[in-house]
Amino acid sequence: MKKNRSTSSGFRAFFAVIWRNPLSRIGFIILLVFLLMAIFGPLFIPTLKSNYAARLQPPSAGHWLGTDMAGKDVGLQLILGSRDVLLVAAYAASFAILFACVIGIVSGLRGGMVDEALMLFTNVVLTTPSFPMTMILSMVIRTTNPLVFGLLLSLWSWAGLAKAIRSQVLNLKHREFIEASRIMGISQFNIILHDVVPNIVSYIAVNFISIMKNSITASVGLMILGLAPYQGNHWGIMINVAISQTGALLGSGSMTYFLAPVTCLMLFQLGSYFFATGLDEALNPRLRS
Amino acid sequence: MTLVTVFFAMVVMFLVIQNMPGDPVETLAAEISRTENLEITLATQKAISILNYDPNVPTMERLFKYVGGILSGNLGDSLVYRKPVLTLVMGALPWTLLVLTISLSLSFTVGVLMGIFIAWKRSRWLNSALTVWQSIFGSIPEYIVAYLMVFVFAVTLGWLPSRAPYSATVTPGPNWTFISSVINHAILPVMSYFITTVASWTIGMRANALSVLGEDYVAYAQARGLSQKRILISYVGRNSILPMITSLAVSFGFMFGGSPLIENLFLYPGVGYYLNQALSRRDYPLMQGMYFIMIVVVVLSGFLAEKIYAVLNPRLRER
Amino acid sequence: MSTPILEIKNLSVDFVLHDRKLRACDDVSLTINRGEIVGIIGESGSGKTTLASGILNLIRAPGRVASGEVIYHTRDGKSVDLRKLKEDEFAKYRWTNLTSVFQAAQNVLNPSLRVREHFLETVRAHEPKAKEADVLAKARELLSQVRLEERVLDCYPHQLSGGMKQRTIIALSLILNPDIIFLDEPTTALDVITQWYIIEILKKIQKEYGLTMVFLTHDVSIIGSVVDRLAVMYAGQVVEFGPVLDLFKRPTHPYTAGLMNAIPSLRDDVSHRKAIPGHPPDLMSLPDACRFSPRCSHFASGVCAGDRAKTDTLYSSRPDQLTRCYSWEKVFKS
Repeated sequence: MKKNRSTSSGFRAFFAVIWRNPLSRIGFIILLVFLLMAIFGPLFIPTLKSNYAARLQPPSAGHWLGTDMAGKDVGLQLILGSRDVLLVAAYAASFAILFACVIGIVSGLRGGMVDEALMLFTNVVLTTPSFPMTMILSMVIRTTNPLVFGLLLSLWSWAGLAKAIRSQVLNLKHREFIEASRIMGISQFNIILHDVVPNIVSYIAVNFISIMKNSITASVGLMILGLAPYQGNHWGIMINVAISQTGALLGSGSMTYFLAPVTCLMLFQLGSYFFATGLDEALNPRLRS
Repeated sequence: MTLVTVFFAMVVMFLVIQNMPGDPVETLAAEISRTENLEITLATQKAISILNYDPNVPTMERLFKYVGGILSGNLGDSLVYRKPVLTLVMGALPWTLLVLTISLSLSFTVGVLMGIFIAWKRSRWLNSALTVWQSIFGSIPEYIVAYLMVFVFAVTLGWLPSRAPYSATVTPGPNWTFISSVINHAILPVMSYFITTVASWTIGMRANALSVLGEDYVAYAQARGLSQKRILISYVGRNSILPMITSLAVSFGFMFGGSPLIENLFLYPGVGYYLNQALSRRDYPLMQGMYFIMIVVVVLSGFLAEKIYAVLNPRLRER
Repeated sequence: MSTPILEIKNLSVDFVLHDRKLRACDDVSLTINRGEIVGIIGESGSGKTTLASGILNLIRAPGRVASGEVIYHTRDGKSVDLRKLKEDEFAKYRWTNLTSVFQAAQNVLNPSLRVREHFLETVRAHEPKAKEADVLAKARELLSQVRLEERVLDCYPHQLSGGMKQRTIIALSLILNPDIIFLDEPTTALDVITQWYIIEILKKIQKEYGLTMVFLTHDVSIIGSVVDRLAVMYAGQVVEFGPVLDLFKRPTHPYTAGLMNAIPSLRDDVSHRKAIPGHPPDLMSLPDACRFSPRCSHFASGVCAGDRAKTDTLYSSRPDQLTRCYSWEKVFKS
């Protein structure tokens, strides 16, 4: 019987699985393009200057995607915006995962009253609709920089993941290697770090992308409603301005100003979805055929 | 359990709102003092009585008062609309429920039927089409779909209206013109929800149906010569649909959560719309009221789904 | 009084996996007489369940019936080759003439339907106009035959024990007055007391309704008390067929002899029992020799050459007894 080498050769095997599945390959490429755009794009673009004489122009040779209401090139704005989009989403996902891990792991390992109390809290957060709550919280927390914005978005998104992590931890808790660690007197913290976390990493990785995707949806939603006075460039702001101030939906020539960020958003979400599916398959050996 | 959730959520929301920057009393007092030419202290008192809100009272006491108010049906008065919040809530709720229940029912029914069909037929083409649909429409937020639909169907083609729950020229009442106008105006919002959610119901049902089709009792049914129709309905259908019932409540809550955006776009006077209005105009009582009703409805729907499941599942029915 | 009810002639069933063919049933021929109980015994993978599925037209992709005839002689004297029927024509015989009882451990009852609905839907699938009262009356009668109470009709499957489910399925198989019942491991996965109980019930019903039964199992120890004639299958082929007592006492195939030797008895010492060494062959890569030869002590000792061509037919070893071992006279000297 052939030995399954995928489990041992780490990265290479991992990418092989991602690459093999056509959908996840596409997703990976899309995300990579955006990532590169976000990291390197702004380095090459000078600060855009307003040019009111050239506002709201349709696509042309000089401006591939037209100009916005201040005469700035839409295409360049998209590139600049990609950095903020990714940054905010990454922060949001990181915070959410942090909260979920802390609560899930503590709840799972401790059990008893602590578990019950934490789960009650988690259930409440889970049941209450998250977007409206995020809307309300956006009034309390001023979202001027990506970190704070990310934190805001994460506040109501960790609950589902926390429950899942808790059940994984409960599963692991009774496995031999943890019992062994405990018997050997290794501190709880070390148990968490070395025994529990490696086993849930794959689960977290897949969810990272999903949470990023959801955060982007939520953040754009907030911007469209005018509840997030974010200072930087962000596709959501572009969409918001396009709708509210240029009447893009009424069929004016600034349709590209609206469609461009929307398309970018759609592409990014699509890429995330494909990649997350591929990631799930890559990290979860059971799903591989 | 449900009561605890509602209570707890409400407390959290209350505390968050109470701690928001901006003092409504001050703002209103300033306005009153300006428009009615009152001295500021008198204006403040008047503001307090209008708003039913005294910033000098400690938060806990305010909380108790609010809870007491809820139990007696008083949710305060809206700052912006100068009407009891309860009235506004009761006026807005039916609209949101209308759109949401139609969307969910449509999405669920179509999804379930499609799921069984695709599982039964095992057609590669259908399965791929489903994956493509879900990838695209499952990732795009429903409000973007809504925007695009408005652009195509309302602005460009002019086939469907893009705002309001019913046409302004129609008088509300149990008459056909009103009802048809309501339906007409609800089509785009419902379609936005439908397009983005139908695929996930189909996929879920397909998975359940596939696993049921592999069960021994289906083979035994075929051995006994039961018709395909009977097997699809009473064997595959009944046994695959059960796990989906609990997802109904989750989906409902999720759709409710998205309502501010959809209702904002379509100027549809539902709970989400008013919540959004309240937020952008700092109307705290209205905010609290709308959010409260949202929590209550979502939690109730979860409760209802549980009960329905208990009734439908034979194992839980007979005690 | 022994008129044939079912004549299986050269039935072969293949499974196609990744362009390779697995012949689960190889050229099986058996004749089953009306009113008798025939047992088919064999290890897992011997092909007995596939044989039953092939007869009952229940083979699904990637399996298919490659060749053969299954002639069914009805009560009114008609004869029809079941293999030549399309599914909707076959459906007419399903359950009204040929029924099957599956293993108890399998969940063959719809968890969402009460037992009563199972009876109703089965009858209505064949007689759409049947009245509910009539069907339930008959159901109650059958249930009492299998010693189940009336209240079982109102139960859901999860409320019944394994033995009760098995008896329900037996009753369900009789609802349309069939001719012949195929029972696939009807007592496996039940405790020994229930096993005995079910077998008593089966014998009683068989006598009462004059049914023909085909009893498939791998459990040699129970089959002796039930069947009239026994067919032994190995690696997809019938290796011996004859009256059960003859097979027990005077087997003419080494495999049968090995099986009989392996049955523990209350009377003698377990140490006298011997399991058959080795394991069944891989049907995808059969040796070009007698299929049993790797495990046959007579082949090992050189008494028999294990010539494959000679094992392609059955030989008449005694009156009414057929064997595939061409060296049987040498091997079984009595």
